[in-house]
Amino acid sequence: MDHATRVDALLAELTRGEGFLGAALVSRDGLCVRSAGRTELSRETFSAMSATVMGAAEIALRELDGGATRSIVASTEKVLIVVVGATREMLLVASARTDAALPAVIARVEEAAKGVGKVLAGG
Amino acid sequence: MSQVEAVGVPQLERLICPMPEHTSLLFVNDPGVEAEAFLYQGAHAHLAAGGRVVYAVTNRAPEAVLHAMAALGLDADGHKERLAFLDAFSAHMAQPSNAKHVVQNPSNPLDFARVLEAAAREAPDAMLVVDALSTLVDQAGAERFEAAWPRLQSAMAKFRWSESLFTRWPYPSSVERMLEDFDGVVQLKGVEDRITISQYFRVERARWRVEVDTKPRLYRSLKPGGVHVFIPKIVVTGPYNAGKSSFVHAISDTAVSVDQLGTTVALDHGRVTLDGLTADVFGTPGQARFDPILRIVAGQALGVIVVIDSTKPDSFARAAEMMNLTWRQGLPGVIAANKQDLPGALPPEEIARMIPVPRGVRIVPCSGQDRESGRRVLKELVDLILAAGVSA
Amino acid sequence: MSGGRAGDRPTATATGGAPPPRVEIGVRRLDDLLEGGLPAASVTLVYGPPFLGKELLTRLFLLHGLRQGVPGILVLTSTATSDARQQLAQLDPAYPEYEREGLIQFVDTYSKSIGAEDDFAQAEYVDGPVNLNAVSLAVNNAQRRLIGDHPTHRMVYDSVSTTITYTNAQTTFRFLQVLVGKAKRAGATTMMLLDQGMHSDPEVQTIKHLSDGVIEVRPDGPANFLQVTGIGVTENRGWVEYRFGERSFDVVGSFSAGRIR
Repeated sequence: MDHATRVDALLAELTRGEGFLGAALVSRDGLCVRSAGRTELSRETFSAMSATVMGAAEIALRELDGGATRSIVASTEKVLIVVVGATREMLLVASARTDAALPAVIARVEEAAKGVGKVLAGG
Repeated sequence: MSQVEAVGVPQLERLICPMPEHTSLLFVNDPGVEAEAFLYQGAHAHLAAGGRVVYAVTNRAPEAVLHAMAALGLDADGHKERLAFLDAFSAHMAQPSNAKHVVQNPSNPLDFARVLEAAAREAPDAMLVVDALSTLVDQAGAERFEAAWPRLQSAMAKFRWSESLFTRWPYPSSVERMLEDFDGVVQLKGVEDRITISQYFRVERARWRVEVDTKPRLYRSLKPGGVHVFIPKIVVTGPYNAGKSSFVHAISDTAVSVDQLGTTVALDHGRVTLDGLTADVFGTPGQARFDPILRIVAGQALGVIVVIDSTKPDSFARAAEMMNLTWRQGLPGVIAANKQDLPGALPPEEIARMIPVPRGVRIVPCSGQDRESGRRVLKELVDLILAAGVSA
Repeated sequence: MSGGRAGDRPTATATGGAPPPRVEIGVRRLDDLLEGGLPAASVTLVYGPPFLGKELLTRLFLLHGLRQGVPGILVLTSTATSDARQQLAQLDPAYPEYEREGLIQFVDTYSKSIGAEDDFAQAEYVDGPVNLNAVSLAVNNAQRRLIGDHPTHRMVYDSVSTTITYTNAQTTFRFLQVLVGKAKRAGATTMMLLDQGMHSDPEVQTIKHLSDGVIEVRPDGPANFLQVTGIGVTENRGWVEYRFGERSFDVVGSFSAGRIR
């Protein structure tokens, strides 16, 4: 199975989780690479802004304690997005309903990001 | 007759210098607005030029003045023999004083005038600083001060020139009327939003000039550094790969970029100091997918620099598009024709034929290899911003 | 950062035409006497002879705010910041926590004037009590550090008497006019201290004129009494007895606290 197919499978599995709406693999410079789920996360603006948000947060958090950024969460009343680093070049972005259990959502996204990282590293 | 060429604040000098000898210059500040730095810098500039200063202080010890000057990075220690203090504070606190001239009864403005006259006899070529005139009014009472004012004014005029500070507490109008007697007045005012959030100076009067630029200029008092005109936001935009981030880093004293994989994904931010002025510079991303950021980053900009790659005319259309997104009629703007050092770079005149350049916007050549050229672009824009006036 | 804190919450709901919300001092029966507390963004003069607990009352006012996450500014004219901090810590063991949260700011016009080596990050040091423009600037700087995260704060000016002593009543009045106006615009509820016996009657009246009301204290034999006037209090209950100790201030005299709100 090639990388793209395996990544697609990981994204599809993620979006089947309770509360999830969609997921996308986005390059850190704002281009959508793969996406899955009921909600369209491949739109150009969405992908670019996810990269912006993560990039800006990394600079800000580095000022505070110098550690790597684990995740960014942004939400409205109805939906939230979680942005997590997957590799040096890639981010994993997922959207879910705001009423979903946030710690569980973040944990699943982080786990999926690790899986994607392994696939892209040739694992 | 020789003139006064420097008052220590470059952006103020542009507006009021040269001043004739015996000019009386008054700084009038709103309460709570940083003001003494103007006096410190004026005194220091004259000392550094080899001149003498008589510094009359009324509301703190002379040592506090030296300490405050040092905090701004102004070394008065090296000019000690030409700096004489007139101490109108210590006696008020029943404390001894080491100052050259001491006013024994600071609440009597005539006593102050007498000591001032003696100081002027000793050093008629000195610059006089009065810090602050309003304290004399406080100590003497308005009526007594008004009665003594003609003699005080005459004593002050015996010096080469004078710079005084007056804090605008709610005094009676008779006190305000005395301010009319000064040849030059610079207002130092605060901009309020619940509290004073920023401050600006404007030249209200300079009788020795035919025309006076009264536009306000935002300023900050930096430690060290002193009074700097402050431009809160200059935006640097332009097509992808035109050299925007490099430009921001080249012109800034310090800069940081939010970039990933070789491209700016959020913004560049740089801090620039030049000619007594500091500016915050914000670079935008160039690729179209980041255009939503453009509007946010470019919001409230006081000037725009559009950086274009002079060797890539097919990027000029995108440059024009970005100019539309970030610039509005009347906003100072400059087009930086970058990469002039590369083969195939089009000269500014050629570029002007290919890009719709709005009226008032200049095209200035520059190159990433030449830091000074970037600074020249910035200076052009800053001159336009100062001419337009920073609205407060 | 303590974003999201509510600020001094009203003890009565304010609707159109109703009195302004009240800010509790934290001395229970005194707050009853004040019909809930001081009006938000008001200026109250605490006036009376020395050594009757006036200073303690203002510190308790600040600490009560700090406990609720409402920041405070303490302007000192005759005490060093280090001494004031020690005093606050003695009154409330949780005080160091408020400092760590950045809730307290000092404006110290005393330490530098006596050459004391005081150096606290959350203090603005002014070179003396006469440089009133510098005091005004320092208060503004302290407020700037607080108002980004907090809609309101408390301020104590300790004391007006010292400022009058170093300048004069007219100068102090002009200075306070500006300070009080700025404090209200910045959302501060302020208490100012004035000692009886140091100033002439007209001077005292001038300063009272600047305030929204007065908490006045006086001794009567071995007992101490206080009276509240102005500050939006609708019923004048006259002089009520109080007692104070090193850490406590209690209104002990009787008055009918019940009123229909």
